[in-house]
Amino acid sequence: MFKSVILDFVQGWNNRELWLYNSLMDMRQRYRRSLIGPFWITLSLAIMVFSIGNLWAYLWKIDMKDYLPYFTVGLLLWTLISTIISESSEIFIKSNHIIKQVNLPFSFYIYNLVWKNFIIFFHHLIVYLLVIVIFKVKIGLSIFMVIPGLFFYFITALWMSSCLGIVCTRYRDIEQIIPSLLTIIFFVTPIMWKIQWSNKDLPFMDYNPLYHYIEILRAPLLGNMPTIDNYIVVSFVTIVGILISVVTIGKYRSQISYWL
Amino acid sequence: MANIELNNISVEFPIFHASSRSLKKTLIAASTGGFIGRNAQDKKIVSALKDISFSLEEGDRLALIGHNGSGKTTLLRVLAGIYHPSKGSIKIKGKVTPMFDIGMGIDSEATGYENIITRGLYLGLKRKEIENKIKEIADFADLGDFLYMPVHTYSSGMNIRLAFAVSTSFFPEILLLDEWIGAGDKNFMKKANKRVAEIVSNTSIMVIASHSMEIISKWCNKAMWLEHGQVISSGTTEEVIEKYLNKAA
Repeated sequence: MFKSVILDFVQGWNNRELWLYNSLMDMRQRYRRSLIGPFWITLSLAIMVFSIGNLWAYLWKIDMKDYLPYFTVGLLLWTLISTIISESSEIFIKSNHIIKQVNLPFSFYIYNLVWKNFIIFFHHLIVYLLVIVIFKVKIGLSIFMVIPGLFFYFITALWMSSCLGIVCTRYRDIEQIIPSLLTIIFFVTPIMWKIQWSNKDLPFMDYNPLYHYIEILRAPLLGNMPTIDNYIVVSFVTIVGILISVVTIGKYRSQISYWL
Repeated sequence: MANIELNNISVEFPIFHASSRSLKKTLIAASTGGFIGRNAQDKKIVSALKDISFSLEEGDRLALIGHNGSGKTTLLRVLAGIYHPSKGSIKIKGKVTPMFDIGMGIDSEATGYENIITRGLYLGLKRKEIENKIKEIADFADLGDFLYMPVHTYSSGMNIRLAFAVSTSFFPEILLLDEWIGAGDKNFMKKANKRVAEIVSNTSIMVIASHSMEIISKWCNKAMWLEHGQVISSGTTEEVIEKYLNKAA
């Protein structure tokens, strides 16, 4: 089973000309009828960051210089994660017309979705650069830890959207719960708030894997070093996730066309 | 050498009604030990194909005939690798190109040029091969300067010509057709027919589902008559067509 799933992901990789081109077309589509294309989303992110950031800084008398970069990076990462999650819940349902016409490897659809969202994420980094410059955030050598961070994000995006895609195709009601689950997760994860704000210990935060995922990229992007704990949790979740999804993919991949 | 071998293929579709599509009900069913479960687990099955066996060699052209819902399209999808049969084994040597809907993947916001590339990639061609053929394809489709315009500015005739020209720009090894492909106005039809004829005579194996006895007897050497997912008769084209028409009359 392991072998056939690996083979599928290799075949999907060999189809990269198609998904790279598809993502490119998707980008062009966004540019086509508007002047700034995907930067519309970037712009709305920027507006959100600056207005909420200002409000919060005012309400709780926090130092803007410290809070705004923190919130910006957290929100950018959250946007990447949450869009991948919500899009993967309908990936196969939406590709119905293609799945029933040609035999492409399962992983093709996954690569397509993940790559597209990473490109959009790289667009958003403009907001990050802006904030870094405006607030003079000091970036150190720790910035290189972005590389393993992105690697973990990419791998996790692959297995997670595989699993979600399969489950949501079979059980159509899950897709409806996902938006509300995402909202809750957003609030219980330190993205808008900081752990240090609480005067109690928050030991349960150690069990929120998303916190560690955010941390492994947020810390280096803000000139800090992620902790070893962050990497341990992320690696653990990644390995367990890969195992679960290999079983799921191996068992149910061939059923998808029947479920559509 | 391309060949196809099917042994006792069966295909069954699970039919999910609202409750078996629901995770909540499935979970309740699991936790209540299957009492309410009977309802949620009540998976209905439609058997679409039953015990189909045949083998095709280089040069074979197989026609699938039968009424709507007899399983022709399902069988084509099995050959294309889209449906994995629930029983039986399938062996295919050679590259299979399904051409069911030649308009698949055409994006009306994108230009003709971009659509040619996307469509070509979906057909399994390499980017380079397509780039080399673009001029030829555009000429054949008679697009002229429209090649660099978005497809939504095209007339419906141009639309069909574009889809047709890309899909038929290469020779597939094993070709699967759901109905004969023809396209466009009278002038183009002539050109198109010639092109399809060329392709069909150049592929190693073709399987086509069609209602047109004329096309079938012109192109195919073998035929298979399906009804309710079962083979009623198979053999040479003349034999099967005769039986089929007798029954229908």
